[in-house]
Amino acid sequence: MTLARLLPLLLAGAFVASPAPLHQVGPGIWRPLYPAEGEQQIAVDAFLLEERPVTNREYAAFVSTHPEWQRGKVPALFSDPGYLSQWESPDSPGDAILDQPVTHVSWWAARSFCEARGKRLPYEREWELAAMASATKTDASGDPEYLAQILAWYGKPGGAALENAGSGEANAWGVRDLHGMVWEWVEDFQSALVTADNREDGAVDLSRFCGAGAVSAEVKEDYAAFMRIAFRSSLSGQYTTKNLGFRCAADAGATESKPPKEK
Amino acid sequence: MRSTCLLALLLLTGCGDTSSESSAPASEAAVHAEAKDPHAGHTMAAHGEATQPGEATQPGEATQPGDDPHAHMQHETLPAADVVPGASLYQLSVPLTGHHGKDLTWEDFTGGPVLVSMIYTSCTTACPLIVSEVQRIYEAAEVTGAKVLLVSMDPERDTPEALSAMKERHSLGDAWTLAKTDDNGVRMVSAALGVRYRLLPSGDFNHSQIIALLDAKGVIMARAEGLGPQRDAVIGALKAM
Repeated sequence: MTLARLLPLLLAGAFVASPAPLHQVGPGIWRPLYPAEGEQQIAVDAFLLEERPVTNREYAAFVSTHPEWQRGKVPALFSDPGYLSQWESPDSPGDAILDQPVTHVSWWAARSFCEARGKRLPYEREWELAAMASATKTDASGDPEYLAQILAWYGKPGGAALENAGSGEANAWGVRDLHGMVWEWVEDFQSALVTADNREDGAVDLSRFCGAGAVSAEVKEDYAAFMRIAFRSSLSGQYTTKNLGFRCAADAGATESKPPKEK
Repeated sequence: MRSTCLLALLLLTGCGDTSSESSAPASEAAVHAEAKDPHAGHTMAAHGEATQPGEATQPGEATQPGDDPHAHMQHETLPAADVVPGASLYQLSVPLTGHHGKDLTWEDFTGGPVLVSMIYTSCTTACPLIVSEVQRIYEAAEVTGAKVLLVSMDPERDTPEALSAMKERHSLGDAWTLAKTDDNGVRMVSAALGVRYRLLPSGDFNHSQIIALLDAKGVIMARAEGLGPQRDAVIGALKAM
């Protein structure tokens, strides 16, 4: 083995990072904000979700063993030029942000990261089910106080440094930082905001939703959920932004699962 | 390169499910790094060492892969002849089976323009419209050697027989290939093309209408979203190839 091939392995040691613990979430019922006919209530099977968003430290360890995902090497099909632009160098995030959520990652990158872990990205319905839980209730979607708390985050000005991943309060499933930290990729981001009339294109969908959305929404109080849908619907797979990260999920019964609710 | 553009019309119209699974080597030498998920059955997109990453293509906007400002990503170890541009769809590791029942690879489409779109055969409203829209573009451009690829978004129900029946129903010629992939393939192809889709409880799909024109190496040169006005840009780009 040449030094060139060995080096990444040595460097990988510099970013030892254990995956976040997995927590079982669900089964449960998710009520989409803009349901299609017959989809007012979507049954979500139990699944496993990582406790916190993936950190720069974890992502650096991934990059060192998957050099094709190094900044500057990713083909345009799989990422825009902003990929990992917040990092000090192509192989190091810099000490200051090691434990913050990794951002500036595309859907393709996030997916590959989770696949390398033997996991996957959560589906929208899974992520939303997990995000319905407050610290005490698995379904706090009708709780005005909780909704106000979430909404407060969306009112905070951007630009401030991110908190460390995992620093937020655990919800009833044991999962942290679903709100208040970063936006997160879901596997099926492409399904967001498609109108019932499939002869219309995306642009038409958007204008229609902007005008009439709040009227037809099922849960009118949940403005934050509306924000998430609007955000997801604006994404393309290769997009990267400074506030968009991800965490991994797995099917319930995956081998590395841990018992639910360990807290 | 312009003379050998592949016009890929990826029409994603499917009535099916949207999960994931894939594999199948993509294209040429630039492909490497396949990570497999033993649990979910995902296969990572075959991943080219970056060569000439084009900017993300905007709808209706022609992109010249060679003009990309990020040419620093160019990788010198690849033999030039086999280089797959960084923006090429042909980097996707997606299994494809044609309406004739035979497996396809991207190499079957490399070397000329290809119009690509996504469809599903049980679709009764928008899909026939997409097919006629593609036909209109294909005929208006009067380009010989252009191919058409319609990828099903319904891996569950769109068997080669169903695809073949659709091809006959619309009297689509030899240049047309209708193909199916698996759930993961649908997700990856639609993400690469910018197609939005959602399977409804009724078995229909909500989906956006994208018609993309690929060049000879699989890079999107033009894209029409929705039916109608943007078609001229695609026709123009196709004629220019």
